[in-house]
Amino acid sequence: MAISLLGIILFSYSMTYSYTLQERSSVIESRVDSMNRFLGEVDDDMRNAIYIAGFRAIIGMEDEIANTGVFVDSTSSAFMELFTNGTISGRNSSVMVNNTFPYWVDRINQQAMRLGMNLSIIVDTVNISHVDPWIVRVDMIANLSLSDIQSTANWTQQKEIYEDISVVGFEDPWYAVYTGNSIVKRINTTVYDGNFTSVQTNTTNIRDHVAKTLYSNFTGAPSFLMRFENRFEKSIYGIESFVDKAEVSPFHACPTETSSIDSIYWLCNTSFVVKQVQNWSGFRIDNQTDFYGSDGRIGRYMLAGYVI
Amino acid sequence: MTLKDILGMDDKKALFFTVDALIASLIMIAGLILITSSYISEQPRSLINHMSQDLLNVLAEQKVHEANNSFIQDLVNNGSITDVNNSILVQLGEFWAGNQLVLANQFISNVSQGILDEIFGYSIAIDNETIFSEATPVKNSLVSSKKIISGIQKSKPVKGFVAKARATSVQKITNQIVSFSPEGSGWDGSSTSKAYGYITKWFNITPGIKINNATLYLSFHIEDGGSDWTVVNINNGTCNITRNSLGMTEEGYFGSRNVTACLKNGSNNFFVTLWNDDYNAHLHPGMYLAINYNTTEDVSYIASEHRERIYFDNIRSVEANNDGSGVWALMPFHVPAGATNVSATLRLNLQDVNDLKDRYLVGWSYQYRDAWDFRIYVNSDTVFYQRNATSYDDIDDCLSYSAACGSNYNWTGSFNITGAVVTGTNIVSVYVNNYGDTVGGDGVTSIYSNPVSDPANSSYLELNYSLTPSLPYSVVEIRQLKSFGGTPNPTKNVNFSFPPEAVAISSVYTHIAEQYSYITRVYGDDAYVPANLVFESPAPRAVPTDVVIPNNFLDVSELARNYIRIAETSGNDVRQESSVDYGFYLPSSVGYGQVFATLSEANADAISRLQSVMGSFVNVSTVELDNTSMSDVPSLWGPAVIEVRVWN
Repeated sequence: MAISLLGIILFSYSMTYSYTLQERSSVIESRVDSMNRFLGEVDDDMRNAIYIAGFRAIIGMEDEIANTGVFVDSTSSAFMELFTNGTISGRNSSVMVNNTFPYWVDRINQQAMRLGMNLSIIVDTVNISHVDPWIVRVDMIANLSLSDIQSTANWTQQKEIYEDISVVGFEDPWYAVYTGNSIVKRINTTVYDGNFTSVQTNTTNIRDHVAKTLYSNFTGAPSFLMRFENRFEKSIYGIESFVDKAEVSPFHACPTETSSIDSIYWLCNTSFVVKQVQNWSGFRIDNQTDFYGSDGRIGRYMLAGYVI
Repeated sequence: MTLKDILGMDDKKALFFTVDALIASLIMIAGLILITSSYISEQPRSLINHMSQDLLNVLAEQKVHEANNSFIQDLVNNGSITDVNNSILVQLGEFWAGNQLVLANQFISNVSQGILDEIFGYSIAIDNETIFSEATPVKNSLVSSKKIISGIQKSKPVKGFVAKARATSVQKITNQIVSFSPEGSGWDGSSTSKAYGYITKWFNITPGIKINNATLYLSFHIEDGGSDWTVVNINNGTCNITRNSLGMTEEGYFGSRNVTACLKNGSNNFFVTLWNDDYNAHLHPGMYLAINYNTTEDVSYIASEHRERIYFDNIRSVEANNDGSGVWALMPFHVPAGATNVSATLRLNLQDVNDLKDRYLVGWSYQYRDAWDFRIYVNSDTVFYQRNATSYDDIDDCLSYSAACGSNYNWTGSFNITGAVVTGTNIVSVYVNNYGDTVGGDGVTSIYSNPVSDPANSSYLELNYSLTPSLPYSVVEIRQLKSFGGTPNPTKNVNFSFPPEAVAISSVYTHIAEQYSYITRVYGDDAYVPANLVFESPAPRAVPTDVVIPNNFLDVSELARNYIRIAETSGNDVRQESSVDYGFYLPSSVGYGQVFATLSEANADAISRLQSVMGSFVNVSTVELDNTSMSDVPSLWGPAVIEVRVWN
């Protein structure tokens, strides 16, 4: 019986020990699971933060250019400074107050602390580039570290996360500078693409396109982001509009024989041969070709049968 | 021998051990059952855990447009839902942030229906505020899952508006200065045969402005005795200032008159009559008109190309008693630092110039010099141009009562003086039959000018230059006037600061007021003692009323104090009526501000900020706004913590 009792005692002990280990293991597993889940939440919300801080950083660049009348030297550098520091050229940007990416990191870290975790996110690089004439992508590489306060577990990883932002609705920086902040035009995609002229409507649509300063994509034009640097080269993400000469000439007058295309007009570049359209005073269009050197602007806007 | 014998046990003991073994076995079995049952109880909790996480994931991943039912469609149609690409959770968060709790409850109730089995109860809360909860009581386990969403916060706009504003027209209070520079003159004559000097100045007051106050500072050298005459006639007799009304005690006079009621919108003129019994009568530095006025004006760019035509006053010197006539005038003009492509042309229309040759007596020195018809000086004591006489009449002929003078002629011509132009204040001096304190003219010698009715034939200086604007956008210029104050002294200082609203300096002038002048120096600086010499008379008595202080010697910041010093080297006093006329720019626009829930709030904020940057100098009630706004601007509110609880 003594043997039985001894066996019972040993069995009970082993069972108790095993249960304690399992409990402990379960706690650790639960903790790791919580941290892992939190990390997933941070991942998801980081996209949100990139979008918001990125969106505002674009506004911040526009605001700075409009207020100073000076283009930025580097769109990427200016964007990163706003995104990570809330400043541009060392000056505070009002739209970035409490809206920088590090501000978000602080707030998320407060959440982490409540859960007994320490979160660190250090931004390595932030880049902004086009993925489409109408979309810019904010791409961020950051080093992320999450640890339990009791050192139960920790994660360290480098993450590359991006978020896309539509450029529709943002200001065209060229107007801010070339009209001394007097005329504001926002990127607004044309509704007449492929239908600028027709036998039925004649030139009604293209005239409305010009009157409303709508934008169309054309690879012979610079992209939206290039406008922040006052660059005029062709881009595969190029977009352009026609300036209303009567509207802008009080602020920026060019010779009559200057194309109405914004990238050419702002430079008062008269080196292009321009054509007129009948009964359309002031309007001039050049036939600069696209990025690939194949299609010209007159064809892009379906004006071949209307120019004189 | 039995077992009992061997072990030494009796039957009772055997029974005890048997029962003991049985009890032990029961304990073991019971323990095993308990242990097993305890593990089994964990399984439902794990299931609930998955349920809560799954529910959270579904709500986070599912888009509003994917929850296709009539209730959602109604919300889209009535504008409660503006972005059908939002996830269910984000949309729920937007309703919560907008304090639409009833709608949030209905929305989440609708879209979460049927996701969980009926045996489970669940609730959804944001930042510990319950949005939806099923009435099912918690019977057993309750598991919570959370999700953080940035950009959402209670009572904060999820996507809002930012606005900026630009004034296109403003009503402002500012000052305008109309200066008379030293010029003359009326020569000798007598009380019975007066030799007058007549000066006519035309100037324009912008139509539509409201003059609050106009003060005419008078500074001249005229006869203080004898019979009375009208010295200043404003706007053809609208107001007259007589010599006797001045209360003169000596020939050099300085005083002021309120002439507000004498002025009118449009073209105005001052007709000044100068006379001296035994010397020449002329204007001294410090004669100017200061107009304080309200005006409504369109906001405009700072021009980069400057083209300015500055007309001479019409100056006539009338001979009497064959004592001769002669005119002279100082014409100051200013070229700002940084100006490029500077060009300056002087055009003169001189009338009744006496053709003289011979010599003239220099002042009281009893020394004679060769005479000339007219001379021009530009920023120097060295002659820029001199027209020599062609006849052989003796200058003294004109000064005698019997001899004939040389014949008179009119002369019109232009000079390119660009090469002699300097940055800062420039002075062109023109002398016609006027040789220091001697004259040789005959009849009515004059520098002709009539910018109102005969501008093309007038005498003027045309100045052109390019200057990169200090600010690249439209601005409102305000000009303020501050007197030096105190008492007359050969050296006088003034300090001034720009207001906090000023974003750049437009231009700063000092107006020199002296009863008698000789060589005057002006200094400007943003520190005391002002050390930068900005002007020195190029010749004795070449003291203009206006001297420009280059902007680079001044500091626009509100905390900075700027200093100007006027020093008269002769020991004569600089008067306390000397003033500084400082101009600065106010911004006419404000950039984006905070994010607001509505466009009207964003616009109101932009207007308020615009009012703030323009300060009290501009009447904001008349600002015309051309504001633009940007919608759908997100903010890094929160993060909000969305909690899903599931129980059974």
